[in-house]
Amino acid sequence: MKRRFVIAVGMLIALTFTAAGQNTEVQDLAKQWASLRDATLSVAKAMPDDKYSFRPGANDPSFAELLVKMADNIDAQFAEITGQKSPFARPETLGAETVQKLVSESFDYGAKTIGELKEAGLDRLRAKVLRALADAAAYRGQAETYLKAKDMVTAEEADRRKFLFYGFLAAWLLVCLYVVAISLRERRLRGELDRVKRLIENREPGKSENVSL
Amino acid sequence: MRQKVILLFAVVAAGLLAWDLYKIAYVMPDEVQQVPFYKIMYFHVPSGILSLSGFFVAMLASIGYLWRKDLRYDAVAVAVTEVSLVFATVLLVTGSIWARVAWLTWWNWEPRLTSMLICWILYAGYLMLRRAIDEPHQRARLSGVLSIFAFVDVIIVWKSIEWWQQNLHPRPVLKVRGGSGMSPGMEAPMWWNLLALALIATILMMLRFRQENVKREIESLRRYAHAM
Repeated sequence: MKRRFVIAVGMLIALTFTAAGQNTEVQDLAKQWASLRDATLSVAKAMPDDKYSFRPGANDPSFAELLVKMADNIDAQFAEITGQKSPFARPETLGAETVQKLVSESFDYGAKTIGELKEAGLDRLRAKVLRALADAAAYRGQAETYLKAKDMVTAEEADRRKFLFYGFLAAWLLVCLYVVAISLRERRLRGELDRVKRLIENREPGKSENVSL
Repeated sequence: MRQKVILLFAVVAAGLLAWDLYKIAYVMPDEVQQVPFYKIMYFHVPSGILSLSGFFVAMLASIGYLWRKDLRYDAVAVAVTEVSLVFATVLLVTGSIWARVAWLTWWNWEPRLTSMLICWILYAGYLMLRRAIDEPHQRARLSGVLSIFAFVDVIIVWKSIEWWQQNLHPRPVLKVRGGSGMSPGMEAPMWWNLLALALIATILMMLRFRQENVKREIESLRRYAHAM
């Protein structure tokens, strides 16, 4: 009985560790992909709707065209991984809402494909998934340069700048508070010294005591 | 003479800081991952260097007192400790703000942060202990022993990023600590800022040292007045 119990517990522990160890790489890839999706959509949302037609140079794609190209690329790469036809369909208009939806759907397609990957088959597909990640990251970086060219930042970067300001403010506030504290203490000590000196003078023979410690 | 030195240090520190702040805000490029946020390091790192080296000086001054029984050493120890504690506070606060952005949490109980917090508590305790004891030599003796004891934690803070490999805190970056160094042109403002903050710290220590002497003078005059 006892032996059976030990074997059962042992198997349970082994199963737990096996389950925990499964799909770790797939989960990591999915996490990276989700993070890239958020960062890309953050860039897309930071650009005002009327600036989607902005292009840095005459021969460069507009911001909207760049994102559409990105969506096309993501769909094509993940279609190659799954062996299916790319779901990409070029929109008729390139408005901000349409483009953001297109990019979001492409990332969802990528996320679905990554989620369905099996650890065993990853050796064959790893290079393709990593290439899709690298390409998407490069597109996102390129899109962000469009924002910078327009002196705009993403919501996350604005948040970081706010914290940077808080950091500088806190550092200087602490030093300034200490300087104020030192000045106040200096004044108190000088007053105290004068009082004690006066007390001693008054205690000398022939003088009345009118100062207390 | 002392006033002139303080004034000179203040002018140099103000000039250096103004130039440095301009460089940090407008000239330094953004970092790839943290964009402009890494710039908080220009205050975080110098504050760390100043506070830890200040605690080292305080320990030396405490040893000096215990050896010579001269209260001037004790005055140096308390002045340096108090100013170092201010910079240790700057270190913890700026570090916490950095953690909020980089790790998405204000605090993490990892070795570097935990040992630094313990360090802060130990030296705050040092200042509280001093307030609790009236007799100058007894105060200097006990706080001196605490200062030497507390310095063990400073060593742990210093070496923690090497001893614990799984630290969340970044491993040494600066070349002087065996790191790979910062990109060209990014490290120099750090050292200039350190110099400016060191001058400010020196001014504060000189003022605090003078206050400690005035305090001693008041105490001896009080004893004299009581004896009259």
